[in-house]
Amino acid sequence: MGNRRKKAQESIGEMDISSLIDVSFLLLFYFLVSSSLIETENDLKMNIPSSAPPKPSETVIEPFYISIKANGDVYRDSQLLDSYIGGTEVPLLQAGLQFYSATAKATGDKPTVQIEVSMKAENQSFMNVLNALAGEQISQISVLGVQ
Amino acid sequence: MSRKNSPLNEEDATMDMSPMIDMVFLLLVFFLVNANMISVKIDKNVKTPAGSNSKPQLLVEGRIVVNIRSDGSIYNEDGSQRLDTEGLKSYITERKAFFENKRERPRLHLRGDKSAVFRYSQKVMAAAGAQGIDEVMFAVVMPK
Repeated sequence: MGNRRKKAQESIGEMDISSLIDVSFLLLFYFLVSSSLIETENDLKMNIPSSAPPKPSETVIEPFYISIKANGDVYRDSQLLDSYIGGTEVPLLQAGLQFYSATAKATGDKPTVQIEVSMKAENQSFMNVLNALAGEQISQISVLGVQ
Repeated sequence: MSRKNSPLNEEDATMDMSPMIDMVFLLLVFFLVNANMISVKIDKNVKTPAGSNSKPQLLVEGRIVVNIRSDGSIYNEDGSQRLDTEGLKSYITERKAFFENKRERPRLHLRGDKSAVFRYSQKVMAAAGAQGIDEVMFAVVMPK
């Protein structure tokens, strides 16, 4: 009798916490996994002065004119560089900018880039151009929206 | 002998789990709070474009977050309120004043959907530019 009583008292005094641990581990893994699943966003930093672009007389080097058409194609002056088919790369523009940036450095000028974007161009095509500019450390640009 | 051994054995079998539970709860609360902090600041309806030369968002000061969804509708920071032309203007004015009070330099953080057209980005940039905000942070993700 004495033994039985002792056992009964022990089982009342000790709480079974294994289910609590199970649940808290489940929640822990849920939040751990869900927090790593959220895609982290990055920055493409640009300075876009709202005032007029610098006058040609202020710089020796010719400005680099880029134009993005409604379908997302990228032109330099009037020459087609990269067609947009939904991708994220603009290799010919990148090469052109690399050469232009090196020339600007050689002459001691600040690279001047002006972008003319169609109002109907997709954001991704515009971002491809900005990405190419960021690759050449050009952050001072002027943007003009055209119909 | 068997009677002497039995209490020792019992002690070995029961492990003290309280520090483990403490740790688990600590981690649980950490991830819970962390997950909430991220979800507040992002409008999930915006799928940002990709850009490989982008940099991590280290500078968090003074960001005026504007979301542009794929249909061109413009929303505030957490995507709870749709902004028309007037609403956008007053939203930027209010946020700018808020950051200037905190002595932070206001900058535009533009989260444009990748399939939204440029017209709407231009609209937001012009609205910010009209109030003297030239610095624009375009939100992008790393391409897969």
